Amino acid sequence: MSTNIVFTVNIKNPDKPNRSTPYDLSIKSWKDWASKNDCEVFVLDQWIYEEMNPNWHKLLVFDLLESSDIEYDQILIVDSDTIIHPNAPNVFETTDNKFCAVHNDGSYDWVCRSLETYSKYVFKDYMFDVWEYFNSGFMIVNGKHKDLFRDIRNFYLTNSNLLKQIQENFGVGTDQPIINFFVQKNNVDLKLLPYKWNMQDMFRKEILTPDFLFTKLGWVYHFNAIPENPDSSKTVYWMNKTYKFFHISFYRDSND
Amino acid sequence: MKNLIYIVTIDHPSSKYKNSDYSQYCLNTWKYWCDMNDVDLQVITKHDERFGKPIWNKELIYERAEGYDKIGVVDSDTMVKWDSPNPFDLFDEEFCGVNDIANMKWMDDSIKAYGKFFPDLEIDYYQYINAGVLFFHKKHLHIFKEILDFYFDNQEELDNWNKGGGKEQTILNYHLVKNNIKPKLIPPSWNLFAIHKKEMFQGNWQIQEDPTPFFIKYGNIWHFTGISLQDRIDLMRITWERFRGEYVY
Repeated sequence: MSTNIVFTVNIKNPDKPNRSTPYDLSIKSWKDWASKNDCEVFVLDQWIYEEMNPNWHKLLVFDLLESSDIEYDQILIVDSDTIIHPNAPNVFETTDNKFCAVHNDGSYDWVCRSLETYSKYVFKDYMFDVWEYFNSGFMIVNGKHKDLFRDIRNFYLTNSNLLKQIQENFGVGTDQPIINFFVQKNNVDLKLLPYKWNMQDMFRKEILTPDFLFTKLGWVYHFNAIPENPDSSKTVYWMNKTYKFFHISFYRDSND
Repeated sequence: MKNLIYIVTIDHPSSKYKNSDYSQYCLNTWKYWCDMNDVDLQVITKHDERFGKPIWNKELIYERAEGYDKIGVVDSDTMVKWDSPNPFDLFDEEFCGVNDIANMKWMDDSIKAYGKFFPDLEIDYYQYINAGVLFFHKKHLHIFKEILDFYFDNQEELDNWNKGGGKEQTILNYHLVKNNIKPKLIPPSWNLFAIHKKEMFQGNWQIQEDPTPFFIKYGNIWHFTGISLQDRIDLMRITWERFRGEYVY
């Protein structure tokens, strides 16, 4: 029987074993939520292509599910630096069976440079509306998008040197701009969900605060783009704090 | 189809700066755009002495827009791009605005502060719109009359309001909820506020072939908010001086 899947990549770096701890909390939060919403969590924790960075591995989602004999309906691909509110509603019911994501609302200096750089050096000056550029840390897809992901993966494997060069020279994103360009170039029916489903760059919105205000404003907390964040120490800090906050407020009660 | 852009720009002793110090640049752009797009422009410079602050003159649109089909109310700290498409083509009979979640702490505080007047109403944060650029069909004009009535009912408290959270924006949002009006959310290009926070005052510093600032490239209506009044004056002046050559007949 097919089901909805939450897919996340959590490939551990053996040189930094402690770094993975908060990402384990992400997975726990998603598992807790999935158990209430009749879906399954699939975690990729091994390298498939050694030369491919972990973030690109999300493109392998269809192959991995099929090779594991997992039947799926819709798939939510989510970054491992997210935590979901335990009482979040079932987002799969809001998709209209379309490709869903959340607009990347944060540093537009970064977004605009990303668009312009990949347009110029990779996509032969093809451009699209900056206000439709989405964050790839939260995407919902279904079987209709299998070919799209195969094409992006093949594009990466064919052009990996160029893409690495761009990343080294410009630092304006890896998988995210490529997925955006492919979605737009292929006229994929894109549904942009509200910010509450991928609350990126919360520091900029002045809600990453000790009173956990962000937990009252939406459902999926994406701990990215935090300034002065060496070795992701603040990401680790906030993910730990948030998970504990929910553990005390919700999970403990529900386990009593 | 007859459409109107309505702008209030009043120099008033309650402010240290003259509104006209920056609204002159606003008006330069809107006058040009309205001429080019066959849209009427109404500029209000005379204060209605019934109000404690000039901002409430915005609400008088309900009696000043007679005979128009669609109306745009824009603040005097906006500038429109010379070749902006026509926002009146975006909608039929809806009430349009841009979701304002640039500073969600401010929004949350504001909704809570003004919530005392609307204890039975709840605002959806993701339907909360910025009041500095509004486009709507004439059938919604009554909202502004209601807001004005609300103001007069609570004038002393509102004129002396010291709880933060802005002036009329959140009140407008509460009245939309009260009237079951779900705004049509239009893209941020139609009300590009918090430009500094979005980091769009600069251009592409890596590909230097085109130094045009991002807000010019990707915005239709630029809204100079969230900065000091002196910065607003300077940035609007610089913008006008740099791009005035585009506003030629």
